[in-house]
Amino acid sequence: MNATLDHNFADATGRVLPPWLATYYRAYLSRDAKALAAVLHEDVEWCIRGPVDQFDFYGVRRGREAVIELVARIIPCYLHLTAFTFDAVLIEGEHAAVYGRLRARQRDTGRLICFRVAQNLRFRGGKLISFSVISDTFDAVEQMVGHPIDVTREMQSVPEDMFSEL
Amino acid sequence: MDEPLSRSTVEAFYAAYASRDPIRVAPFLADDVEWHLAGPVDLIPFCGYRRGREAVIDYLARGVPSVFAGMRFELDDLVIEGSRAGLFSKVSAVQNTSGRVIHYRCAHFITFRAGKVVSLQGLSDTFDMVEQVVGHRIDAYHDAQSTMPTDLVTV
Repeated sequence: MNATLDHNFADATGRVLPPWLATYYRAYLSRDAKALAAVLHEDVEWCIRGPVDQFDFYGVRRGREAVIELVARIIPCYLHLTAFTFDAVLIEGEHAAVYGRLRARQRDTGRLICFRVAQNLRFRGGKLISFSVISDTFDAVEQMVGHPIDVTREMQSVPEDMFSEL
Repeated sequence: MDEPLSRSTVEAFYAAYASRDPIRVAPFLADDVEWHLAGPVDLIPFCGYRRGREAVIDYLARGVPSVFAGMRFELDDLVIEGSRAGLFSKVSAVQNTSGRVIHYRCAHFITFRAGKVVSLQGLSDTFDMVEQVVGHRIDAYHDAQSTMPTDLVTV
């Protein structure tokens, strides 16, 4: 399922996104590999900050193919984006900062997830060269696991004896 | 219409903010400033919503220092358009209770009016922050409810 596309791609002030930015978001939200290939620079660097050991869509990806793999194939295994709301969009040349809300339905449980994101986007020649996201990851993870997180519960390491026969 | 926001104004505010010195910060705050840092308030008490200059000054002078000391911001990126700025930074601080050095990433979206902050919205990688605050990696899948006592008495 693709995100519900706001074809105007306007922010909270009603300002419509410029075509190059709207084209990128249209491709990003569609999760379509061909559309993504058209808007990503070959050397794109991509970072979604968060607990990569608990959800593998967090972390760093480098290069167009790796980012397409993430956006078009890995993320949909977890979440179907249903909407993206642009609360603030700031643009300086080919540099954009976006503050918004991402809504998604969790694939395994059907739970609706909603959390705020801050996205930092740099374009070169109209193609995305750098993308990083900061979000309230504690809230996002609690929504995805479906219960309050017990912070006293320490992540267990793999027991040493699992490797004793290697 | 406000005059365009300058990079020097934003950087001066950010330096004052990082200093946590209320005397330096107060001139940058509008009377009706709205200030929101997203995050788990029960674990990171300085997260949450504040309204008005006095409330924000109190948060800066007492709220943050009650948890972290020596907070420093390293600005990674800055976008300015009109009277608004988006900042992406690395933060480092020392946790008071443990002496641990904490590092995390944050983003601030700030709206200015006549050179004063009227709105600040902040987001941080709070899962990473909380793991550093509690001092260990957290098993997010473990349900907190399952550790509650089951020997309840029915009356």
